[in-house]
Amino acid sequence: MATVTLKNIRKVYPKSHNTNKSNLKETADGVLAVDDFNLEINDNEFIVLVGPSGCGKSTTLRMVAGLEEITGGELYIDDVLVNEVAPKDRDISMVFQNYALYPHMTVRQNMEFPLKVQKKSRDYIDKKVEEAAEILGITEYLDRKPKALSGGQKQRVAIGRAIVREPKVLLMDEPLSNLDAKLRNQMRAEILKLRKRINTTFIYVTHDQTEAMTLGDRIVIMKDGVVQQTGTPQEVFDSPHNLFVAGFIGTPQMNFYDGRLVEDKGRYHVEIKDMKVALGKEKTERLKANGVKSRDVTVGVRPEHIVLSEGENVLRSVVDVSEMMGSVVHLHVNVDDQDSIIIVPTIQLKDRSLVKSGAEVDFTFPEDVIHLFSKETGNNLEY
Amino acid sequence: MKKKHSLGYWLMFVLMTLIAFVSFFPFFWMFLSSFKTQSELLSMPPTFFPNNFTTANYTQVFKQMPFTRYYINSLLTSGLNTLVGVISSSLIGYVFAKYDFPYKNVIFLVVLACMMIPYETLMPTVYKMMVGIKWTNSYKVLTIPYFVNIFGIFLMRQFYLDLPDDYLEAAEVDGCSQFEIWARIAMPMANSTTSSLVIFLFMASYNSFMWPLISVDSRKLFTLPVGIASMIWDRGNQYAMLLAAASMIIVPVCILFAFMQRKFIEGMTSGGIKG
Repeated sequence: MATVTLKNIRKVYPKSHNTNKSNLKETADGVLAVDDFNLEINDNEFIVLVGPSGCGKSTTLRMVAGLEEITGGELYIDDVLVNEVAPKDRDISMVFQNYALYPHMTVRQNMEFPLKVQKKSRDYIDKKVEEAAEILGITEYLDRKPKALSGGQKQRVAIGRAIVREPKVLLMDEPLSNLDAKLRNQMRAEILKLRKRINTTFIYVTHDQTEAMTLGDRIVIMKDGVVQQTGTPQEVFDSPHNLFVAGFIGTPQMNFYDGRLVEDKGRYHVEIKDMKVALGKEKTERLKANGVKSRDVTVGVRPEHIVLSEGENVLRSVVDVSEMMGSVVHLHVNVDDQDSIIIVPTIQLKDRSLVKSGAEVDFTFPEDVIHLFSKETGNNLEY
Repeated sequence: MKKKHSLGYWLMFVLMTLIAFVSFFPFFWMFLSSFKTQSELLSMPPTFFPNNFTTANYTQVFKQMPFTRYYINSLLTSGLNTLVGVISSSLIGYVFAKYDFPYKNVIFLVVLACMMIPYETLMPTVYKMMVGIKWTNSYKVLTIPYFVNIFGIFLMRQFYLDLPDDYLEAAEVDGCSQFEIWARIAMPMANSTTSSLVIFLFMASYNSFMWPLISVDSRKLFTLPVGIASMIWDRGNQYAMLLAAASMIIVPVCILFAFMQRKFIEGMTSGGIKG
């Protein structure tokens, strides 16, 4: 267990370095992979770094591991500055995306390896390996070579090798991305169980927002080397600070519409095409506090918050395709050449003809689920 | 169900058998002829199997020259050259593949360029150098110049280039020093390529003739190829005895190859089949 503090962490690759990431900002020193990363990770916390590929999440993790030099800023593990400390002296373990199991060693030898390097006694090593193997359910594979294991088993061994040392911080770099969907769900649950059994601080990197939402105590959303938002899964889902976070978190992703925010005598309403939605008290107060005036905005609404409606004050759309998911139906609709997704619980779908292509669907959304983003900066106007 | 083979398969089978036979025949003939007398060996028409089977050639080899000494010299120097050569090639190849340092590619190019210069053209210079530091006529001259092999460096570098960094980083996080990462992870993973290199380096040193010939005068330091040549200089062409000596010389190579055959073939083909 340990606290990890990242203060103004920065990573710049020299221009000759082959990063293959065209989205990254170039500076006079080179390509900026991570910029001004600040985070305080608490003891025993599970932090997930999430973002699209090339956003700097793995680079940040590798800097914590000591595998990547830190260009600027300070990294503390338990209040000890570790910028210049070698990986082996940081008391961390890491699980790699492609397992990185040593192919010439058996499962047991793989798991023993970090303890052997530390020159622990034979009895201690055996005890720790047996314990870890039991936690992960791989006792029967201990004498096999990695090539004789399935992907899921290999990943368990990789986790086993990481936990036998009882590290202060356990780093995981997209550990489930090589597994198929079913196994990934299963392993996700196992990581949650594992987390309860071992006392350590987790830093987990993934590009999969579902993994991030289900595993993390807090998640850090990154884009182009910059932290976009840090918060609990609920916070980032309910209150995305910008368009990127709003679009990245949630499946299917949030719908966006061009609209106009109108302030009239201390009250706000949003106009989208012919529809007007008056904003509630809480939103009004936040907008007022930020001094927001009438302006063009991007309105974001999650597909599951849209309600089918009839009458005048609605958005009119035409169904392109529909996907029956069992308990819900995903309607892909078209509002004046703009695509939207509506999630409708099957039980509420009285008129089954609505799911057919070409069907006309009218919808609206409640005032409290609307997110308002600046057209210029993409930032949420409420925060 | 029995698998039916195509005509191409059988043609290939016949061709391979033929190549194997042509390759193996000289060795077989050498071995059989080492049990013939000199006169039978030179008789016309030649015989294939010995008419008068004799082991005298073998005993004569040991009587007429210090064959055991030559054998020990050859095995010792080749063994040491192979051991050090493999370690140095692996270490240097690893550094070229996995470390970044200024002018790395230029240095590697210079190293590779050395491979293009025929050794014969370097020999006088190296010989003068050895004379200068008074190393001639010693085991040092038979070993130290073989300790670094450019082809070996190139071969190992190519393997390490393909070795994913994740293994090495995992070892680093697991607590290994840079040397331990090479010794405990990278080197064992290069097993098949190393086996090929062992055979290559051993053969290169074991078969080496010119260098031991010019750098060593003392018969006590002769290796097998020079020793056998000296037998011809001393006693003329005693072919039967020569074949007996040659039959004994190939034994270590055969043993080495038999032990490493599987790994050797893996090493030779690994570049092509790696995903």
